[in-house]
Amino acid sequence: MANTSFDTTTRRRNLDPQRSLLDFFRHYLPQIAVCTLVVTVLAGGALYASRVSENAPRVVYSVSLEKVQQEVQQPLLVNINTADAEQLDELPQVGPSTAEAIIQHREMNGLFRTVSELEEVPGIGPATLEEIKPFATV
Amino acid sequence: MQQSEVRTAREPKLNFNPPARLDPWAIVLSVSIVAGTVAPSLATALIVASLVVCAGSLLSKNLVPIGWRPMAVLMPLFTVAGAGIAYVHATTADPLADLAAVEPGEVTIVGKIASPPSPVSYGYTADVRVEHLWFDGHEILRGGGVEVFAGDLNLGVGDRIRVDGEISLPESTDDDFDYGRYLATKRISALVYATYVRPMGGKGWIGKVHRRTDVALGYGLHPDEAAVVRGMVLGDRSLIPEDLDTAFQRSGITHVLAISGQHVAVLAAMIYFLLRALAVPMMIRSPVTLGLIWLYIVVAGAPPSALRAGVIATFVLAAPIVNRQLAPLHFMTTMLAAVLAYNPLLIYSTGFQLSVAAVFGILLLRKPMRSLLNSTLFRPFAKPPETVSNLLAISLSAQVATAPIIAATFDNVSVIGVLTNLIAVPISGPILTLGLLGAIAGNAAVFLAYPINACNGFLVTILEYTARGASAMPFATVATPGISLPLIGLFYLGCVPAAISEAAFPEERWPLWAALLLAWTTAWLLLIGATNG
Repeated sequence: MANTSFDTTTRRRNLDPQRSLLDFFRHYLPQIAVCTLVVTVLAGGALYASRVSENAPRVVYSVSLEKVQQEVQQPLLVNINTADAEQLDELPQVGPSTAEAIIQHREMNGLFRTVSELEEVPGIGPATLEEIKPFATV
Repeated sequence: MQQSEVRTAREPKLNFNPPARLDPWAIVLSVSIVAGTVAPSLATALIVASLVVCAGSLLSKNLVPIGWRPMAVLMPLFTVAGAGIAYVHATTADPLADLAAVEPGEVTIVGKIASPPSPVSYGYTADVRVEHLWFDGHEILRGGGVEVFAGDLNLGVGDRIRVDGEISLPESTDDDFDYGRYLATKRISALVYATYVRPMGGKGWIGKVHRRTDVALGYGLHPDEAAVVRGMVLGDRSLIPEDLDTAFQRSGITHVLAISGQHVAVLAAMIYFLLRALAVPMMIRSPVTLGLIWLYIVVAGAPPSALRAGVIATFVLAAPIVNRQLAPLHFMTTMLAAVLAYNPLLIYSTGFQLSVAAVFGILLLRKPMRSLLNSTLFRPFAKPPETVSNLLAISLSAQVATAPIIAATFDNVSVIGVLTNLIAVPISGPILTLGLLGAIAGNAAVFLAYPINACNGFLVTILEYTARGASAMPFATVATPGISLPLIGLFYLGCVPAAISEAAFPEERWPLWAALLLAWTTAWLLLIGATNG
């Protein structure tokens, strides 16, 4: 029934889509309009889904990824002459009490001249020193 | 005359069917989106080809049949739009993945759980939609999704949590499974290995529904049976024992556990007919049914197969409201265009591929298969048993259409599934219905839940026995390791004659093409077997 209705409507307008291009476009104007609308809605939906919706991650505070990468790749290096207890605590095999002992040794005997001098600190033996060495500096 | 005028006034004048053939618009758009996503150069070729066809049909009135001329002229609109949609998605920046690629160490995330936590080799994993992400003391990102791995995740969907952990990109597994692409189909950009997880700001309502459903299904159901019903009602298979899950897969009835068209159809029918029995007018009945269906899909975690079924249900229920005819194939292709426009990466989702292939298979192959069954297996009957014939035809059609996808994904195809589906499909509808009723009753009045769940337990036991019994048979599955894309393409090429037989050949030829398709499927499986020794 819908087809009959469609034909009747187009015949009433006396448009022959085969006669000229202008007639063709005028004849199929509703179809063209609907197709354009559908495509626009779908493309808009795609744009929203990919860039606007909550599924799309967006930056709110700019951080240089190169800088983050450098920081990540930079090995942990603790200056045993300037580091506080919390920083010294990050060294391997060094807990809060050993960190305090390092600071006490530094205050009593002055600054370390070499990393190897850590062996003089109570609680740090040769094996621990070998583990600390890659991460400590003076 | 008056009647004719009334009909003319009520019926829309616009139609995409003959005399103007515009209904393949969605196929052209979908193909263009897929081409733009998988192989952008192919999308360019499609645009060029469509421009040539468009120019040719504008210059020559007789290049294409008169009814196809509008489609030929408008083809570039759809190819350009499809390629554009793929381009928009492909060029969208993903700062979350960029950050994870650097492996910056520990980040803090506040977000909502988007999938039911499921057990892994250590602890649990769940998808989390990111609301805020802090790194190095600054909130740097909002939005996106991550997959969280944690020792314990005693939480539900929608719960708001804070996660501290190391962020990284997913890596391909040993068997070359592209885990990153799989997660991308769910819009997940990175993994977070949590060192600290804390619930924040109360529980989400979806999680509450899941928890209350668990409790309600526990009244009178054995834990294994409750897990199966839970899987069917909520689409959450995390509590189903591994051996039972494997049995379902080997026996070819795993699909009854996925939220699919069948689930949505059962739910829609329940609500629709209940409202009709209450004399609710159609203008209210259809929108209410649609609203409840989409609510169910959200509660079930909106898997791709449920989204597909939801879009189709929307078309089917909305058609009478806007006075349109039901055109299953056009609805299906329009759904494909709409869902792919929303997320083109779904073409890589096995669930979506299976769902689409099964529905296309049923739409295009059911009638030839039924005519084959009626002229062979049911020939001795004076009147072929329509219900059994239809069920078997649907089962065969869906299995043939999904066979290459299952073969490529799981390295084996269930051949026993043709028979097991004869039992599983008819009883899965009542199980789902009783499961939904049991869940509602268990929350309203516990004494009501027991009889409902007891009836359901009986049906689930039959389903379990069917799965375990069939999977134990030696010929239950055919091993199909190492299937390549050209082999899959070759298989579907061989399906074309049977798929178009309804439109291209007289009805008496349908059994022949269906028989040839079954022979082709068997030959293809034998070829795979022979290739792999």
